Amino acid sequence: MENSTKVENKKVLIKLEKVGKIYKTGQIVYEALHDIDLEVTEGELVVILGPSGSGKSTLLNVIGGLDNATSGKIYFGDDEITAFNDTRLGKFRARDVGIIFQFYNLVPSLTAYENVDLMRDLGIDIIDPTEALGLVGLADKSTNFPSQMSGGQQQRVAIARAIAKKPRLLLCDEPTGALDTNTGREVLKLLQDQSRIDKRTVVMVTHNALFAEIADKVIMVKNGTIDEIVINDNPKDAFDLEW
Amino acid sequence: MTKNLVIKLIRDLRENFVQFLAIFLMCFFAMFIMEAFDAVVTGLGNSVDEYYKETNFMDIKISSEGFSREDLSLIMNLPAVKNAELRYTTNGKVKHKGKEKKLEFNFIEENEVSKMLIWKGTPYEKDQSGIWIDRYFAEKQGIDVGDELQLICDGVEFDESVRGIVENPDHSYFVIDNTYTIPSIGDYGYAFLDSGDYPGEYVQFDSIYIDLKNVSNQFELTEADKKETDSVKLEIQNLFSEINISCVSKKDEEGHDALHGDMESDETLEIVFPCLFITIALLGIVSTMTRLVLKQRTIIGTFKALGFAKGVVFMHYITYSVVVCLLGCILGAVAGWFSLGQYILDIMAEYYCNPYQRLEVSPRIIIVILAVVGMSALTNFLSCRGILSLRASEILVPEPPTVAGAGIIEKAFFWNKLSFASRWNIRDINRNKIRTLAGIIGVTLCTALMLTAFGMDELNKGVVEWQYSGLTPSNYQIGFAPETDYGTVYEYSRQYKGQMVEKLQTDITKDDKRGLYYVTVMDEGNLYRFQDDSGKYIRLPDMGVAASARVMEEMDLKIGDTVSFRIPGVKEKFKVKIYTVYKEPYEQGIAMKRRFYESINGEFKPNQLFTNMTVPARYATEREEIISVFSKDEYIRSYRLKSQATNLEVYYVMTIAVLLGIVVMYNLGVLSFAEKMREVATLKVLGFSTGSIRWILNQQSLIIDGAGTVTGLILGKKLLVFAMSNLDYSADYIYRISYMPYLLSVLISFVLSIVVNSIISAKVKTINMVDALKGVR
Repeated sequence: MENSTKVENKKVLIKLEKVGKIYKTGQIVYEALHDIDLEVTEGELVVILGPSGSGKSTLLNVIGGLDNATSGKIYFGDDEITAFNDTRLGKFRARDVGIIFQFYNLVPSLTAYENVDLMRDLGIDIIDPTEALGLVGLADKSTNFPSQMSGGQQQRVAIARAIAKKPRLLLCDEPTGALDTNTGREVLKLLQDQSRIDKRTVVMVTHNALFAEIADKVIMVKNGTIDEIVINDNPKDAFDLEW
Repeated sequence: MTKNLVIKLIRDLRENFVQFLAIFLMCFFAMFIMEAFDAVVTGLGNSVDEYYKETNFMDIKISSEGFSREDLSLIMNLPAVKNAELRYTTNGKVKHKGKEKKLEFNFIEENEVSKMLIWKGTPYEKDQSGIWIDRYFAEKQGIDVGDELQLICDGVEFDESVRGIVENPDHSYFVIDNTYTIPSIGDYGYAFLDSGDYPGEYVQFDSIYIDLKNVSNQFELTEADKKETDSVKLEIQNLFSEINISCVSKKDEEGHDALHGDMESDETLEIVFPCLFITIALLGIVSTMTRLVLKQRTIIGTFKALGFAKGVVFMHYITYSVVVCLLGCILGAVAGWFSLGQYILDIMAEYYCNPYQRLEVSPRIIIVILAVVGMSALTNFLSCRGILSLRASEILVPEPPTVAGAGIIEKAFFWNKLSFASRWNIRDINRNKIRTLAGIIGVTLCTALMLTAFGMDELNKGVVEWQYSGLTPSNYQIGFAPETDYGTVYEYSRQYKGQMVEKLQTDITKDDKRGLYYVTVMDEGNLYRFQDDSGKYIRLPDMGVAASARVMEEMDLKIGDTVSFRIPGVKEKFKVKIYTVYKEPYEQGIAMKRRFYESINGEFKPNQLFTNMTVPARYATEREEIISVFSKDEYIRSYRLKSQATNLEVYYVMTIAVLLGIVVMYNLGVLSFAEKMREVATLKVLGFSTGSIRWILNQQSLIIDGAGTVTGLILGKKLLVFAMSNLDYSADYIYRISYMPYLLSVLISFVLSIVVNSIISAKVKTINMVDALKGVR
């Protein structure tokens, strides 16, 4: 399954060099990431796999600028994001990164349309929220509040919100963790299409090893280090997954 | 703020309606009261300034039995004097449309100091005949310019034609004689006539109105004004050391002094209660916003993760309280102006005659609104910054439980003997000190407000009882004309089995301290009594005098000090030693026995008679020597009329205190429950029954309420004394309240607490264990 030459032909979007992350709570010091070296190329669908507490969410957070690395460097294209201050990190997330959470994290007091339209408040160009909701099959739910939608629908609104600003990178933290099998499959398909059709880089964190089958690249994380990187030459279609 | 964040703000406000309504109401009530009083104080201050300026209100008035033109020249020659005028004032009567009414006659030669303000008719001109009559009296009695009036002055009947309807600043608080407790506008009046129209043989001027060069006409005297006035007053007293004169400066003039006192008490109310309400509002903001931010932790994390700048998120959350406070303040100020403010102004118009009386907005209100909004923004900022300052990844994980070590109680020997509920609560309080403190402060402020309100109500109502049952329990009071001889009053005292009293206002001095107070000389009897500050009846000393507590405080006196005073018409200056102190609600001064007064060569000239027998009211109009006859009921009625504005203020405070109590307790209770949700869910999962969990929660609430109530009662008593002593500067109270205000405050506080806690702890039954425990790390 491993094929490193294929990767070299593509442009690198994310590059991590000796990245480490240490948490301190009172007297307790916890090393969540240790000397991580990693490259993700444009348009790739990357799945970060690992057991609970392995550091996979921390890795996603430092890649997306949600958290700062304690050591090492992270590059996004030609920019070193570890050198960014809070303001620049905010702009980076607003412009280049779309984030999808396990529990959707929609604003409950805003409708589906308004949740997507919220991205316009960041001062960036977005596609029309109705069109974005149409892309995830929810054009008819634009006036619904999150509480009036199922979990799968809410996650699709979250995807619409993430893709409305046409980000170069989509970060997904256990996007199907709160969904049933069929709905989860639909969400995975949407994310896969982002990579396959829209050529958008998608990095997904999950503890479900089955999802490795739809990824171009699988990063196995264990105890804060990369245990193994697997390149998948023939990723499966999300609809073909069974779990 | 952007469109979608505004939409979120509006919907969040709607969702947390009760909490934000509480903040809104507190700001509303604070500004309601503040603006009402401030508009009155500002409007009155400025209107009186205008009135004084236009009429050139006198700076000093001197009175004696008689002044000549030479005396006037002496005054005019003083370098500090700008102008001075002679005046003769005497009470008489007017007959009009078959009715006879009391009228104060003022015979003048000039109209430059304390001038008449012409409302209708022609201005005064020297040597011009005719009468210029009080506007309010004219309106009530149906008198108009051109009417011929039948007048009785100094026993002479004569007719005059009305030349003008006027107002006069010396009569802004006009009580025709000292037996009226409050003005009764329009029932009696005053009039100005040229001295040439005096119906008797020869007009003997009894006062000189003086205008000083370096003293401004404004209502509030500056320190320089007061110094200049005092210095000229001293010069005048030296100038007339051979005859006895009474010298009253502008600040002691009855109308000015009464209005000044009322405005100062309004200013006190304007500050004390709004400050408390705003403090509670800020407490409400802390609790509400902490809870909201806690509830929206994930949303805040998401905002930050999505790329919203820290400033935008901060601004969004600060806007919540700013919008609510601003709205509450503005609407409160508007409502205060139109309701309470207008009501107070109307009440004041029943006592004070001021042609320019109005409500006015002062810049102070705008500054206060901005300050309240600024403070709310700051409080909000401080409440939110804990979460908002974190990184997106930190916010997106649930808050870890508070880490705290074992407290002193946990190490105590009895710790293990305590029930689980007690241990749980002690630990919870130990780990959430700020929340507990906020709860105690909230209950403290509410209890203090309630005690203050109930205490004020009791003291206000009790003062009537104190005065008319305790101090002067007689059923009737007769007031005698100043010239009435002792024999006449003595005959009345025999006829009505009454107690004779001489009471007059004069300057009491000690070294350089001086004040206009009452000197009371008592004949034998028990219809006029004195009490000490504990309410115990005391006897006046045989040798020496008793002084009221207020005089002792204001003149910085102590027992054993000697004070001096003069009696108008008597050359000698009396020097007396203070032997004891008494409490008196209104007429502050010194009191002595007749025997002592006569032993220091004072001549007892009683002008009041207290009796339990019924005295016909018609005597006041039928008999020359009697100027008034009042029953106890009439005094009580007039007192209640005068205190209706204060009572209304007290009822407002009471209502607001109870409302605030509900709101603060509910708010803090809900916040506390929201913070404990996870622990409560855990207890429920472990199998604790709903009843036992509710008992645990209620036990903690009762501890907080108990602590808050105790501190509230202590603070409330202090607040009560402060509010009452500032409410009316001329009044004094025995600050002893019954158990009722305490009991009511504690009861209401606990009933509110039990009801509110029952409502909140009822949520235990419906708590969703899965949702509450979701995401626990």
